[in-house]
Amino acid sequence: MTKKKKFDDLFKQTANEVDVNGDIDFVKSDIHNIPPKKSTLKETKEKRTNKVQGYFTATEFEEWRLTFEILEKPSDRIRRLVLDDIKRRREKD
Amino acid sequence: MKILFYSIKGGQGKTTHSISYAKHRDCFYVTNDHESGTVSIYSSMFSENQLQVIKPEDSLDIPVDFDIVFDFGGWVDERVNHISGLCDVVVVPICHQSKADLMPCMKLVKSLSKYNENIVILINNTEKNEAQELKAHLSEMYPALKVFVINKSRYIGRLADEGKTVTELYQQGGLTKHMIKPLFKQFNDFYNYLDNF
Repeated sequence: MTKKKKFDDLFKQTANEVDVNGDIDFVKSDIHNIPPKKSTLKETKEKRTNKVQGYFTATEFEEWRLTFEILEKPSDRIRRLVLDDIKRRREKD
Repeated sequence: MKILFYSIKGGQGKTTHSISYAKHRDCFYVTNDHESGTVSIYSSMFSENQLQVIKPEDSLDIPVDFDIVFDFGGWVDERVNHISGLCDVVVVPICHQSKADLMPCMKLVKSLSKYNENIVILINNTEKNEAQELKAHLSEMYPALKVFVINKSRYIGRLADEGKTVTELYQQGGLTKHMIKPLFKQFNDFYNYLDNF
């Protein structure tokens, strides 16, 4: 059997197997289903809330809460970007 | 722009190519690889806060207005269905040596296509002839998806060893530029496609 034929057969066989039983269940996966450390998250949120709320209105802060949750330490550059964007939205309104 | 590089199997080229693309795009890089040394190897290539690590227990909220390259994988991360739905494109790299690499790739393409139509398969670090054959098969099997090939090359390893992307090596000029030209073209074709997003 040539190398090419071998590869062709391998590919076909794999494709058939995936067709029959090839779904990955992301939602039900419990491999890394570790519950969040709620107290730590809460403390972090409160710290950040107190620190940043002075810059925004409550609505704007809620909108940008996402930005700060994903980043441990918002750099000045990011803070500037966020403030510029809020300024732009305010002017638009 | 948000792009996810993902595979459920390790060693498929996610980190190499996601880091390289994030450098090309000069954007944020977010990884769930908190233990294998990604951060310590590559952090010097990024400015402060550009490289972020998400641990398994962290919830994931994605800011809407930032360009981000996500590097997730090595295992089935249940946050991926959420992220892949929000990303503009999902790159599934495969470094083919056997069925053990091919099957996870195909399973992943099948499963992720429920969440995102824009899936790109990146065949990399694979023997040249085999890469072309694999590309032909995958293109036939998934006509709606883009399939790219980046050949196996020792120059790609210099990303981890020296912090230099293929583009940077090419721009150095000289003999390296000449040697690396075909590889650089492959990277360029891949990046030109992703740059549309």
